[in-house]
Amino acid sequence: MSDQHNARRSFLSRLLVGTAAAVAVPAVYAITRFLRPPRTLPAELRLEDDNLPAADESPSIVRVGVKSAAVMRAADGAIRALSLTCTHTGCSVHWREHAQLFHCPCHNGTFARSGAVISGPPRRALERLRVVETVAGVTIIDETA
Amino acid sequence: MSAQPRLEPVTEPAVHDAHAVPLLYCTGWVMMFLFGMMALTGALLSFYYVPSVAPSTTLDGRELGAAQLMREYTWLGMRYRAGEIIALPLAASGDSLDAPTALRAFVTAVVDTSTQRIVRPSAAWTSVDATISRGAELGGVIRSLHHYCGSLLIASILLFVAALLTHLRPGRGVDLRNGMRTWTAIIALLLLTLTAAFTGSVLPWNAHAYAAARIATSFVEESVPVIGSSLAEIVRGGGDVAQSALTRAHALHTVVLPLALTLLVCWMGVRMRRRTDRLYPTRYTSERREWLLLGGAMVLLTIGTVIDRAMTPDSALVAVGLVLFCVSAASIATRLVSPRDTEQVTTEITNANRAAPAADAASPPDVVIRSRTHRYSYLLACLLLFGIVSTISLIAPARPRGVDNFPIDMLASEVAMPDARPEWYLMWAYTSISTLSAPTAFGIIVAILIAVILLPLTIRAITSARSARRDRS
Repeated sequence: MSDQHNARRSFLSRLLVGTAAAVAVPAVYAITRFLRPPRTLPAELRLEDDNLPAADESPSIVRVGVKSAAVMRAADGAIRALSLTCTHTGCSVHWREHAQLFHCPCHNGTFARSGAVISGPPRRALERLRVVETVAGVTIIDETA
Repeated sequence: MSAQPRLEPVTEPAVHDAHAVPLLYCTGWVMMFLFGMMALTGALLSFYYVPSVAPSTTLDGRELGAAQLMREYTWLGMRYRAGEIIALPLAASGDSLDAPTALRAFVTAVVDTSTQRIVRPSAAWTSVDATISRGAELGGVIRSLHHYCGSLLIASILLFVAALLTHLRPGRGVDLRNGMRTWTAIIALLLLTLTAAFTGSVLPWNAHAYAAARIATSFVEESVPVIGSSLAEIVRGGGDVAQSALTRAHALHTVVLPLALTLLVCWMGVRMRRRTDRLYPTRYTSERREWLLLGGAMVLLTIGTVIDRAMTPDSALVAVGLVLFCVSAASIATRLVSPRDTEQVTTEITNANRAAPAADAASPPDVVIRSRTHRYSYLLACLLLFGIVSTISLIAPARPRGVDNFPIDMLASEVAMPDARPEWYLMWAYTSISTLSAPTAFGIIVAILIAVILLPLTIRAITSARSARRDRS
């Protein structure tokens, strides 16, 4: 009688503690889902035609939301916007006028005017921001913001 | 025979059931569990909350303006109902909305009537209403859990107080010196929790919160004699309810009060283990009483659901009923599955091993029984409550609507001041403030507080006078 009772009780206690654990697992999952940042409005920058650089001009540095970007005109005449965050460790790259390239002071990575990697540790080209042509100019949109 | 502990003070030869669960302890554990839930959900909410009355902006610095939706709409993955307020970017001039094309046809700007300026929702409002309640996944559920658990927490503290009262009678081995300390501590706990609830209700910075903050601080200013105005200034951080008031409410709600409550709860927990055994010895509830309590819980839940038309802890009766239901149901369930407990630990406490000797040297030894079965019933009660409250939060998330949730723009000249009816646990303050003159209300509140703190002494005086009369006759 006593053994039988103890066996039943230890089964029930395991059941109860197991239920508590079974509640904890989805709770942790729900918390991770909650902490994933929700979508926000993408950061935008509107530029008038007058402020846009010509094809041979050096890129102009602008701020799109909290990101720095280089705006330039490509050979085909289209406006291109590159994020100035180095794809290696996230330092800010600088435009070197004399060398005509983007240089990262942290680990000496260099990128071409198109954003492609020339030398150094970076493996990916500089990220391109979306450029939408409007009537009076362009809107640069940072959708990852 | 002499090794056999005496299970009950001789003055009360009531039915003793060693296998029953002490309801007082069970309620205490439910209370601790709810404190834990508040800490957890509160910590989660603080990942998104922004304590600022400044206008909220987009990442690229555009100011947001309040707009009212004309029909149901889903925007940025958030679902809005018709008539709800939504924060949209403003044009550079600041006097028109720059709504996304898809939305343009369904929104109208909310304009402050006298300045003709579009209302700017604060960063606090946007972080609570848009980011937490709609943007973050399950955000509405977490906010609801924080809201409902707060209500249940206060219900559980009230039940704990009620359970304590049933122990504070002579003939049950109550040591009043220690008993008074526990009593004062639990009343302090209740008051601190109520303050935390109030400061928390200010944080969303909507019309309801703003009105409540103004009414409460001006009540302090009007009613407290001599130091009233400086006290109100300290609470508000200035002469008006503005940014500093929100900052202070935020500091109180997220740092000061949780810290004070944690310390108090720890201190009480230690005392409960060490000394309450002496104060509230082996007072187990009979099986019949447990079923009565369960029945009482069902009655409370039914009446609460009928009267308040919602099966949520927003109703006082439902909140108290839910806690009582979980505590009594867990006790009954434990009793049903485990009618004999072979592993109970029995300790006899006499004057010899007592930390503080009892006032009455002739008082019988107390017996403390702790067992694993009890612990399972505490766990079961907490699990039950967790299941119920999360189901309610998923089905009927708590969210202020309509004029109560209107965003507050500090520069708008006309601020909507709704009738700021608080939650049930603050209705006593609301009613006395709105029906009585400020000094009268203050006097009554202080009188009630003193009466409550002295309640155990009063009960003891009355019962001992009665027993003295019985002895004489």
